[in-house]
Amino acid sequence: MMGRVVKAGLLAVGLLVAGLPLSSGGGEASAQVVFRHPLDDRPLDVELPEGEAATEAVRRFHETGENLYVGDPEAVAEGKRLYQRFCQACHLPDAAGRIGPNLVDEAFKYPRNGTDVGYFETIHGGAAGAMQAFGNRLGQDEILAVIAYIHSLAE
Amino acid sequence: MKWLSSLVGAALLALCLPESATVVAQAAAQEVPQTADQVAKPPGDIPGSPRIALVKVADGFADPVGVSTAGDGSGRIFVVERVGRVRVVRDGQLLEEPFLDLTSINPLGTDVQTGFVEQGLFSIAFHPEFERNGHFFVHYTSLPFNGDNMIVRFTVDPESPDAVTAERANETARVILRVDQPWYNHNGGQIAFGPDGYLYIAIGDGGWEGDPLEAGQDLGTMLGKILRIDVDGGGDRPYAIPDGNPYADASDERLMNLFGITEEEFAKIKIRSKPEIWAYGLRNPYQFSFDPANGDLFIADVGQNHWEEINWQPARSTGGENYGWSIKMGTHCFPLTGPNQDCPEFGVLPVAEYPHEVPYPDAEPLQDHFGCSAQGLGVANYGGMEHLYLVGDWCSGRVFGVAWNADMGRWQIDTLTQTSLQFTGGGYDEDGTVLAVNCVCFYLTDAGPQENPPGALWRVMAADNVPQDAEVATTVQTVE
Repeated sequence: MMGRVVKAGLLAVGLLVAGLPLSSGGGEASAQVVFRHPLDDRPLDVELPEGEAATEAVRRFHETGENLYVGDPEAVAEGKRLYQRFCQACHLPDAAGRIGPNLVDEAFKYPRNGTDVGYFETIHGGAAGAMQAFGNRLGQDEILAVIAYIHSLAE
Repeated sequence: MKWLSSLVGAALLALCLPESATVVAQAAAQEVPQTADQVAKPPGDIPGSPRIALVKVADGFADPVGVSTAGDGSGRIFVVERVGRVRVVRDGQLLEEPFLDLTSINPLGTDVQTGFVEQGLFSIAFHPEFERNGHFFVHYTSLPFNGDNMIVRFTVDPESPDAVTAERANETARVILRVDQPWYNHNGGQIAFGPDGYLYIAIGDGGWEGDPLEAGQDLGTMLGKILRIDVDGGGDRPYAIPDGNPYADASDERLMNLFGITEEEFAKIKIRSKPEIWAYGLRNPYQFSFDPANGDLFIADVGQNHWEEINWQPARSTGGENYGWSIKMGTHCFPLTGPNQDCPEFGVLPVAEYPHEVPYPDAEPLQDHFGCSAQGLGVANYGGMEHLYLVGDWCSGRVFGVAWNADMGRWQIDTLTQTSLQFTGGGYDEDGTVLAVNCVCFYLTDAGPQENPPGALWRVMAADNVPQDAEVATTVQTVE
């Protein structure tokens, strides 16, 4: 996983150096996703901080909302590791929920949580109370891996 | 003769009032609930239907967990950082130098055990005569004493009112109380001087879950209690027992006499009881608040798995309340096994309780008005709020309001707002404004009190009074 992050990061830097705007993928998928805070809909700043690599998965996600890591065994394994560290105290190992809500049923606390963009908004930007902004603790690529792992639990 | 004229007056009043009016007056009197159905659950009807907002005062705190003021007219707000520091906010500015830094008073390292998120520095309380004597008290879990609770008094150097140096701290430190801690949770929390001038100390049941020590009901331990001590009357000892404490004399040595003693007199002999105890049967009373307007005491007792409990004592209370833990949590049995348990009446009922998302095992998750850990903030008497106890929830970010509704003759609890904040505690500004602090901390995600993202200090205001340029806490826009 880490190897891929670094490699993809280098690729992104290479594209930047070559002067290609990351957001225009040949004109067909150029629309940028607007991420919004789940509580008040204000736009979320998803610009990557210095030192955080723009992996292919993050780039694609910003552009289209598609999470390339869903179903990717390597990413799901990484997502599991992160989930166990950051999420399961509240959502339990099987994501059935205890202090935090069930993540594998059909009920969503915030309407957009039915999509990966909504999941990302809640994890990255935080929601109410203890669902803090995990963007403070996890990189965006890591958040996509966590989402992929949650999908694997729901299967 | 005053009592006689009162009696005559009461008799005359009774003669003048129709019987039904007397009954109504009795029903509307603010009382502790006598039956479980009188205990408020959200949603509810708070008098005046207050709308509140949280306005940021300052940020950049390392896991802030409490707030206090010195009561010296300086306007300073003292924010307790779990790591072991007390920071000063003066005129809205956070001073760089800590007021007290327990991480640096011991040459071998910090004096504060913060290894678990429920450990650390909990609270600071300034002596009612602080302006004169410079005394203040802190409550924390001690690293050298393996996590035991310490209540320590320090004395400010008048030449250095905003910062107590390590030297000054060591010169003036006086340990008031140490309490053995068996486990690392339910260790808190708040200390505060009551309107009677005595120091009230909240200590949880010592942890694990389900109160394995049975500390709540055990009068022989200070765990699971509110304590009350007299820090001025001890002479050579660090404190005295106030005469009015419910078990002040219960453990005194005495000659045994078996005959001619009434039931009541026998019942007062409790040879293992701790005379410091004011109230018991509590699980994790991390925060409590005196109502600045009338001296009533509210206690937010953090509950286990399914319900959070809010207790109330009128200022006239003589102590000794048994709030039921671990026989009961709120109105519910422990263990709670289902929705319609036949639960025995036991102890003093809370005035309000609010559920977790799953209010009993295998229940359908609730959609609203739930939380997981009650952190009392303070009692508001401004902005259209009257004797309104504000409780922030650590997990859901909700702020609940608890108040007596005289028209209904019942206690009420309602969600006032839901925010993005993890509430950890509260207190008052010098003018009685309720303050709140939030951490960005939790269990598995806890990186330590210094490494967690910083928390902030907030002022609870009536929503209509928020200044235009104020930074307001993010809230859910659809709270009913």
